[in-house]
Amino acid sequence: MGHDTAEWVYVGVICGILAWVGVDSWYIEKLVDDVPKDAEVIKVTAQQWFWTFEHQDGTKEVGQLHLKKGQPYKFEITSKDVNHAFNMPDWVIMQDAVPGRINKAWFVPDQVGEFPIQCREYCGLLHYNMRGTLYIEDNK
Amino acid sequence: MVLELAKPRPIWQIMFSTHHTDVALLYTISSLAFLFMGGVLALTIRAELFAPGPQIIADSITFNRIFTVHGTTMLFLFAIPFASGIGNYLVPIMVRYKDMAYPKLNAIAFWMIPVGAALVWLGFSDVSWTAYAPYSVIRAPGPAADMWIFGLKIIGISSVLSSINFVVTILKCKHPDLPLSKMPLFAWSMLTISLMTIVAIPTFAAALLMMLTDRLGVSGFFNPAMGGDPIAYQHLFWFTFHPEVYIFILPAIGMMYEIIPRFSRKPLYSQSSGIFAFVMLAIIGFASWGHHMFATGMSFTEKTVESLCSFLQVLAAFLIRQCHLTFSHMILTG
Ligand SMILES: [Cu+2]
Ligand SMILES: [Cu+2]
Repeated sequence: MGHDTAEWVYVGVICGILAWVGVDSWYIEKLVDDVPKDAEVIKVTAQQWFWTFEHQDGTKEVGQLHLKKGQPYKFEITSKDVNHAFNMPDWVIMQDAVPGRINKAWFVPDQVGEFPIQCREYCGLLHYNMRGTLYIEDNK
Repeated sequence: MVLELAKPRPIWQIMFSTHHTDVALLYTISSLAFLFMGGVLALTIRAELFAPGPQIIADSITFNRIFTVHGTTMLFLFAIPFASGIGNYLVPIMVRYKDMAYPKLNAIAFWMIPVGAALVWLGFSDVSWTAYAPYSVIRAPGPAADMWIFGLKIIGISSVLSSINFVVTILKCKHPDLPLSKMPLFAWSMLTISLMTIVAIPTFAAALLMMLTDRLGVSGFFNPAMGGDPIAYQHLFWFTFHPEVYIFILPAIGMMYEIIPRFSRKPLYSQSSGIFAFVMLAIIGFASWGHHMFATGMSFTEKTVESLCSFLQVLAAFLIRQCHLTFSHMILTG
């Protein structure tokens, strides 16, 4: 094999891998963007240094969130002061909470249990301790 | 270096010199000093995180200050000045000129760095190296944050001045017998990053000014309470600092291009694909800043465009790897 052949095979393989990863991530991004119609809205408000959750029926929770298994949820995430980020590592959800904006994320819990919620954008003094707990309960 | 050992001079002769090798020594030595200072902070962070709960750092604000100054030091006081140091030493030699184009400007650019460094280290701010608004505007304690802003402002001006110097040295003072296409790839990497710096830094410089006036309360560019948009800051910031990633890495790759062919005793496989990769990285580097902001609530279209640009970026980066492939090929086949 001459130099040129080796070079072009290399470039071709790289382009192929990039195209594969690119199409796959585009497809997943579309899924992430597409909120189910029957999703229940949870308003997530971040502030230094705790989380407030408001359910669709108006009930509020601070630092903890109780959800039902099998029900789709849409989070509307915002902040009252500085930037934070709403992160539930076990459910691969991470979205910044930016003052003046409402960001969305959604998921359908398919497992009961207790999961951590944490702030993932540096927000000052107690950022390390800006945590919450997600409780997923059986929907009977 | 060897020259210094053979014929020692008093340190003040080097300090007040404007000759490119002397300024290069100052750059290299001070940036290595900052590497160790930043490294001490890094070790402090790791020691603190060795076990859960507080270990050696008294409170969280101190911890936040330490990681801020660590990041700022490593990026602005080590990575950029170190490349300038090596570039100062080698670029005039590689383009066969007696010195940098503007020797006094060169020395001025260097001496701005200790001033900026003093502001960053004496302030010991807690804004984190990205200094995202609105935290840096409405909550970060002063005067530390303001000193951080001024420090980075000065370091930014310094790197623009030294970049102008490199560009003029390479394009205007290069020996007429040496065409650009034959110029050593390390000099090419310095030319590329100097042009990138000149395009990239002004955006961050503007963002720093806006942040300062926001902090003073006379404007509200990034403050939602005054109708501003915190995301605007992130766009300005990453438009500078995504390209900056390549500004950090290209001199190192340029050095590899020089070192590996010499030690493997084979000529460089393809000079032109090295140049092509540098130029590609530089151009596409300005189109993919948004991949740092995927979690900020971008629209689907923005995300798609930015992903596409990032993939092109990866492709350009792989073109550089291709030369590494060549090196291993050369070494294996003899
Ligand atoms: Cu937070
Ligand atoms: Cu980037």
